[in-house]
Amino acid sequence: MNADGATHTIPGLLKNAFPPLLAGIVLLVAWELAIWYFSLPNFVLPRPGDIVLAAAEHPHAFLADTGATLLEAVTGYVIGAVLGVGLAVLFVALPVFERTVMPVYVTFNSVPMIAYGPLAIIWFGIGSMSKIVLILISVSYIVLLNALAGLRSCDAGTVELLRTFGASRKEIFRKLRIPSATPWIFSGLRVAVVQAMILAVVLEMLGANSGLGWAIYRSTQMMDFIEAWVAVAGSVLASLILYSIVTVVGRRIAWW
Amino acid sequence: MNAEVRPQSIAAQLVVVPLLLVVWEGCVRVLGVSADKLPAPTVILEVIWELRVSLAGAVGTTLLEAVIGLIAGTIFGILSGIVFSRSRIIERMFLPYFVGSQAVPILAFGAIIIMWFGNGIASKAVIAFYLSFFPVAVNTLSGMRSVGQDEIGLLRTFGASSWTILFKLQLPAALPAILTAVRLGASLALIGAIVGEWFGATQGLGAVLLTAMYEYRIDYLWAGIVLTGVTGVVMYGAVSFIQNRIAWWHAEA
Repeated sequence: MNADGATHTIPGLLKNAFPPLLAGIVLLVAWELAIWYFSLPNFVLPRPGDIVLAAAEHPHAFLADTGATLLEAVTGYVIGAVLGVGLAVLFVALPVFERTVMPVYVTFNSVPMIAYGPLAIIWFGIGSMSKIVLILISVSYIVLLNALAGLRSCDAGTVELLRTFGASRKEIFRKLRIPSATPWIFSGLRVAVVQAMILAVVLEMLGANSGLGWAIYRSTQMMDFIEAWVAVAGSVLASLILYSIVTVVGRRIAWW
Repeated sequence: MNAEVRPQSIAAQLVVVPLLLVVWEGCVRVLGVSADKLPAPTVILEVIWELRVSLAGAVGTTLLEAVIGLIAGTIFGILSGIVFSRSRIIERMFLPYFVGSQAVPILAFGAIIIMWFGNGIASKAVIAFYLSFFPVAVNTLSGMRSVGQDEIGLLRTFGASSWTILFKLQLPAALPAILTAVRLGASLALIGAIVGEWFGATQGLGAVLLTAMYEYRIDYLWAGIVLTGVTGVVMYGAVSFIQNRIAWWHAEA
């Protein structure tokens, strides 16, 4: 993603980070100016500082909501990722499964996953189960598509070469297919982690007992802008943290 | 490294999906699954037919919201891509935020948009707008950057103005990338419109799904799911059609 070698040195980091930081400051100043110039009341557009203060005022509620959303997202994500990679290996090893199972998967996933939200709530209740089920289906599909493409990305010539040297199918899988699929899988895992967070938050808006999406829904019903901003900011931060973790782990494991 | 569904899988769908529907229908009938757990496909079709007028209205509303947002998002996305390509400093300041928007659930901001713009069509169109806007801007820029300096230099020696270079060279070169982003934007716009409708709208597919959930009408809920899928496929298909028509020189899977 970031092929810029300069990012790894401190001056390089500064050079790359300075313009977006400047833009951030410009945006914050514009935000403050808009509030002052249009004399926007606090409930329409709260000051950035007020959002932080509001979150700090009820840290327990904020942390509990963030924790609930993260728990759903991460649980569904981990199960989905394992399922996706497992299915991809199965499909490549036994193509008959791909021909029968894959079309069903594709059909199911051609409907935007959020449309199944109300059904999941009815089938699995308003607790975390409904969110985890949809997240794991969606994540497994994204990871499956990427893992399949990755497992096939090694060229046929290399496979033949290993085979002439007497490598078994299993060895070819372990030594060639899996390593060449790893960057692809991580590329899918990065997309999927955002999808997991989106689904967790959006499904909580439909019905939940806790979580950031639930907080967002509750606050819009009461027209509580600050509370809504706190929850939205929380979901953005939580997602960025998860995304960074996946990216860093990906770089460590798939460094080639 | 974007994995897409292989054409073979799509062809296999033509066989497997009808089979799946038959098995689904058979299982529900033979095992006597009650319709409030899982309705048979024929029951779902019946509901869609019975309520065709109101459901067509729901599809129309959601489609209108999503398409208005998508068109606005595409126009502003292309314009910002052009601005980025013209100004290195603006690009370096703001592009990271555009790229970063894809790592966060910006759909969550939809709730604030609803509070600002009320419960009509406008608020959903705004959500659809900003969701499609970011990918189009990013892809416009990368598409325009795919043009080599040699080509630009050549046109310049022939006395082409920078506007001519933009319209005759850079934008046509960027078109396939732009349309790929619009295709993604179409899915995002539909999702944005539906989620926006969950905040108290009375019209649209999102409202259908929500009403069905509250009233526990599983067959009606499935009708909403099927129509959402169909709407999504139609929007995606329309963009792919345009892509094949006007960007035929760069047939991209």
